[in-house]
Amino acid sequence: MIIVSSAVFFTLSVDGNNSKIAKTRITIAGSTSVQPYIGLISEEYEKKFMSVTVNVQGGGSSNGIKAVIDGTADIGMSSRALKPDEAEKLDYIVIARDGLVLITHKDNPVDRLSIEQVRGIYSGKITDWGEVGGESGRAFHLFTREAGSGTRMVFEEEIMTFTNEEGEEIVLTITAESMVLNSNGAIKAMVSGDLNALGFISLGMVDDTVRGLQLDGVAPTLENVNKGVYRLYREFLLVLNPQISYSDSNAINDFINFILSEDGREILVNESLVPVAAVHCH
Amino acid sequence: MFLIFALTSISVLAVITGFIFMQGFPLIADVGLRDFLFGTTWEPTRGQFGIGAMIAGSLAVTFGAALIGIPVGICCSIFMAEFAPGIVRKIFRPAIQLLAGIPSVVYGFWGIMFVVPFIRNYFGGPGLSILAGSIVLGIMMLPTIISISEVAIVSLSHTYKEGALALGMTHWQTILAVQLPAAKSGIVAGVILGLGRALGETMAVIMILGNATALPESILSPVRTLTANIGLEMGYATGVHRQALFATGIVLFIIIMLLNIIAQHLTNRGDMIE
Repeated sequence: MIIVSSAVFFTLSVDGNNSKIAKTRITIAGSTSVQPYIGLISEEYEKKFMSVTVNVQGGGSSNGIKAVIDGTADIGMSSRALKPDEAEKLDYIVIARDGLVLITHKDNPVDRLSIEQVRGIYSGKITDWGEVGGESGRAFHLFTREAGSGTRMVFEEEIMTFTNEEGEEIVLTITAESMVLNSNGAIKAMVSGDLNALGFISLGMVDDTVRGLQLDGVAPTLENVNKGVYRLYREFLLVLNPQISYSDSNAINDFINFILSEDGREILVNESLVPVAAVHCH
Repeated sequence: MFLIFALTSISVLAVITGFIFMQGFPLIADVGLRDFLFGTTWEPTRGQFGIGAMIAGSLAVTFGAALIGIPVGICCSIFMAEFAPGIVRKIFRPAIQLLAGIPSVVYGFWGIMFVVPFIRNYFGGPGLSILAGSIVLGIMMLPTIISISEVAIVSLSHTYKEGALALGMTHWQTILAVQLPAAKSGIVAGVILGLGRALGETMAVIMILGNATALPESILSPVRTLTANIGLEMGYATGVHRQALFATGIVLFIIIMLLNIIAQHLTNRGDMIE
């Protein structure tokens, strides 16, 4: 034990000497959904390469993308697809898929919903748990995320937007009666205490305090998201400015390679994400 | 020298005001003042900007908080000014100031851990509701009301009280018929500043009101306030959506400004009486 710690101390001090000249700093900003995962990876990275400081900030997908365009951040994190005008200017890498799970209270007898039912519930047409196989006489307490949130956008695109039998595209709005909270954690906390609640959060956030519902008969598991049979998922992107990132710094390339490496992927898997490495460059 | 510092603080106010109005006004002009203020559909990502339900939400929660905070606050200030023995007052006064010093996120946390489940279990509904918000905001406005009202009562000239007692009135009659009316303007000013605090509160409100954008049906319904609307969505808002949040800020700004002007006016009148 003592030997190990002194060895660590030794490397520390050596590294400290080397890095006195200049410490490279990488600034990352964007989606609060991606932030915790990149935060974990950057901690690992900093342990390995002590001459680099990785600064991971939140702010939301849109702000992160804007920061990369402005040059105030080296890398942006986004939990939504880039808009056409953004995709024109920026490179991006899909690093992971994150399943979105509908959750209820543990003691709620309902353990599955069809996409059709979810649509009906969130558009306000179905208001009673009895209509979907639960205890009748209990009104839904719906939870959703705030307008503009990546999580909400995925839900709106994958569930609330669909093509009907006549081939028309229908866009339903989430009912204004639903309660709006501003984080996955807050929604989980409220749902875990309310027998009539229904909400949706990241697969990585689901634990035994709540019940994750099957969607169209498919269980929300890592494997099913990976195979693509579980339909409700979103992609996490890292966004780069081609003009700044590559020319200026190898540290940024290096860090991204670390995320895509086995070490990086392992961290993502441990956090219930499905690692992907799809690079979209100009 | 002092003039320069004074001008700095004023100019900060001017810059902030100017900025909010500049950012928010184009949207109000676009949507139309009437649709913006009285429209009840808020779908900012689909170009629907009506903050009517949120104005209603802010007013409902503030009114509910007033129902709880005003009677408790005024009674407490009477107790402190007239009945509390020295030692009790010495404990109460800093305790109440401490109440003002608790960060609002702590109030919100307390609300979500205790008040919300209590309402959900005993009154029904989701718990995140006008009622929960009113209880927490009612407590949060107490320190403002108590300290200003107490000062208003204590600082009355002794002649009021002594005269009334000399005429044979009991202590209670003196308080109700002489001291309270005489301190009225100060108390009302305290109440209005307390209301301003409730109206401007953001963090706690986001946590315990449920933030639904529909018009509330009962005191057990979740609502969104103007402040919560800004606090909740600013992280993601871009373009017109962001303008709409600034426009929400303008409305809030004007309401709070009006409240403060009324409070100021009343306090000034109080000075004149003395």
